[in-house]
Amino acid sequence: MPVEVKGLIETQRALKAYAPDLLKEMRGEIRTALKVVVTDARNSVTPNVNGLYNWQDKGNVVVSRTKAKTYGAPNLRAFPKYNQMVIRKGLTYSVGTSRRNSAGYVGIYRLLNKSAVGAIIETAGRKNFNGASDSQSNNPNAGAHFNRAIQGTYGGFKSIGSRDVDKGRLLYAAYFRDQGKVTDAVFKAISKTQIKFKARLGLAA
Amino acid sequence: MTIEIPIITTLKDKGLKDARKGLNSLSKAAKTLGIAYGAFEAIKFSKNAVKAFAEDQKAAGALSKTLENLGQSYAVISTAGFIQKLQNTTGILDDELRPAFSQLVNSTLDAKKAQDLLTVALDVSAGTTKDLQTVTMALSKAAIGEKGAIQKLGVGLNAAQLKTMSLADITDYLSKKYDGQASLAAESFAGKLAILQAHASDASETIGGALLNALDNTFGDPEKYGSGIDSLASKISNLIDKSSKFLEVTKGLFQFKLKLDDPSVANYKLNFDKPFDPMSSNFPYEKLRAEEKKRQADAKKALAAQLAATKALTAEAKKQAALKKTQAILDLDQIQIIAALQGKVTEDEKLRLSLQLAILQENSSEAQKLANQLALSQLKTTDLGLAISKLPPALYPFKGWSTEIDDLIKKILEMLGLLSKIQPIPMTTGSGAYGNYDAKGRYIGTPFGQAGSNVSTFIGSQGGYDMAANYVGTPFGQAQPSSTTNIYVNGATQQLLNELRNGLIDSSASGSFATINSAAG
Repeated sequence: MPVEVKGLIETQRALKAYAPDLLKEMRGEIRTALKVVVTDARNSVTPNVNGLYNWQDKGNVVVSRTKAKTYGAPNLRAFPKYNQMVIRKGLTYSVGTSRRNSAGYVGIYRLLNKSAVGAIIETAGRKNFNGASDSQSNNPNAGAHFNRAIQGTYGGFKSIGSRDVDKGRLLYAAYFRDQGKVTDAVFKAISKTQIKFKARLGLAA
Repeated sequence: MTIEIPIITTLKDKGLKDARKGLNSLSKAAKTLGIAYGAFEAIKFSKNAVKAFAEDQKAAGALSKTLENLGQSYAVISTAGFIQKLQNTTGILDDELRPAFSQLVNSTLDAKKAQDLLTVALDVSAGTTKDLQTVTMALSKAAIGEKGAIQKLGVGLNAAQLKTMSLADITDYLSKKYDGQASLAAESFAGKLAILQAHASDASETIGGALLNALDNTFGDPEKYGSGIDSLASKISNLIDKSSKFLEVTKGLFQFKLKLDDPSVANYKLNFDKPFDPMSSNFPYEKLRAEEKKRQADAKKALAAQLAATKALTAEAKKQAALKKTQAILDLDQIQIIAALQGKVTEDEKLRLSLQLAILQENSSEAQKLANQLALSQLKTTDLGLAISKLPPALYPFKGWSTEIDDLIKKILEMLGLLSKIQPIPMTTGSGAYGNYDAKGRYIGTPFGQAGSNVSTFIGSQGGYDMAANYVGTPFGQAQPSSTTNIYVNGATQQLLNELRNGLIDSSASGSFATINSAAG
């Protein structure tokens, strides 16, 4: 779970102004720590999903079967095909500041799962694993079949918090397996830089 | 969609702090202006209450009319009580209940049945969390045999089941399945709150009605008190606005942030000469007076400018006239005419010259007068007038024609009279399109043409009409095939001959061709 650090933005700003080398060093250490989780997540991506042969990306152009509701507007995006490379590429990290959420918080160091198909693998079945109870579909069991196939390949969800949304199969699972080491490493990097910076300014640590 | 796991977060509260600060200052201002705001709110409430009352009255009236139209007027009072009771027990406002009931009664055409269905609809609505309008719509459709909407409600009935069920069956099923849901919902905290709100709404409507009555009694004219309320509300809002500005300025003064020579203080003038009247604070007297003064000054200036322009124009016209007069003196044509007039000229020439001079001077009345005089003079000179007066009157080419025609007619009549005195030789005649037949079946003309009248014909001793010819002519020669008609008359009197001759002469004179060969022996 994320940890709130007060004054980190101001610290980074000060480092950028007075000790850019220290900022660079700190970010390098943090990147190394984040990369561990990202690499683990990337390594967990399988070449295909058992039982979903037709979902596999065979290089064909995928066209949406849902037409745009407004005339002249582009059609809706097609459901993405399963592609190991795309998923792996989408699993990454960021050391930049995110947009502020409704509560006023910003994420500074983040692990990301950017691809659409990666997000599907991460979250499919998180809300209704056995399909929606009020499904109007002609094939109401399709959702459950899809979720079970992914679960069969990737295993169950790994939770990193108390909420329903704090669980997933790729990045969340990697973070779960990391057992908080990445957070520690980040903290260590920040504290080390802080000490160095204060020492450079002649202040007591 | 990007999924992200933030490792480190921080609170970015700059905007939040600003917002909080703004809110605090706003609440302070609100406290300061509490009394004025309270008054404003009171006016607002009054307006809303009157509006609510009017809408409620309108809706109740519409429902009564619906029932009346459906022949259910006996149920008007009971329905009003039923809806009031439902509102108080379920917390659903009558604004929702009335349209729902109206819809049901329109479908069932029975107020009692509609009341039962509305009760069931409320239970189903509470049980399925569908809104009352949707449930009512489904039930009203089911009442007229369309049961698809019931299926869509998701109450556990499929199409096959619905096909075999009547409205009573459906109602039974729904009332059993969702019995007590509405009252259960009303028992919850939200339900109690809704009931409270319903009571408040009722109270508001009652107050609105009382207020409307009071205003009606006081003013008598809805437009007048409507505008009065509006005006009062706008004045109070204006007071709040002005007071906040006043506070802003005075706050600055007390905190020594603003000085008296600060432009913002200078812009805000407090008029201590006049007592502060909040109701008239939106009338800037000084500004209006200054504007009026400026407007008057501008009008005065414009009038003066207009007068000056008129004067200048008149002066210019005078100048032009004087110049023209001077030019007239130097006009060579006129000089010559004047010189000629001074010399020895006849009266006629004098008139001509005077006329020319008048034309040159563009004196139209004088020119007209002189022209007339000249015309008279010329007539006198040439004696033309006298000659014209002696001319004989013009000859009328048709003079005497009337008398001559009358004479001719007279002669013809006389001739006819004589002809009638001659005894005709009896003969068989037959009527035909072109005349009579003789005994031999030949055509015989009439004395007046071909139309075949029964006027007696006469034939002379030598065979009468031309016996050899197939056609016998008429005295006016219209039926004969040849252009010449020979008539031989023996034994005729001299008088007849004379008359015939004269008649033919007259005929010839009138344009008809005739040749007379007198063979009287």
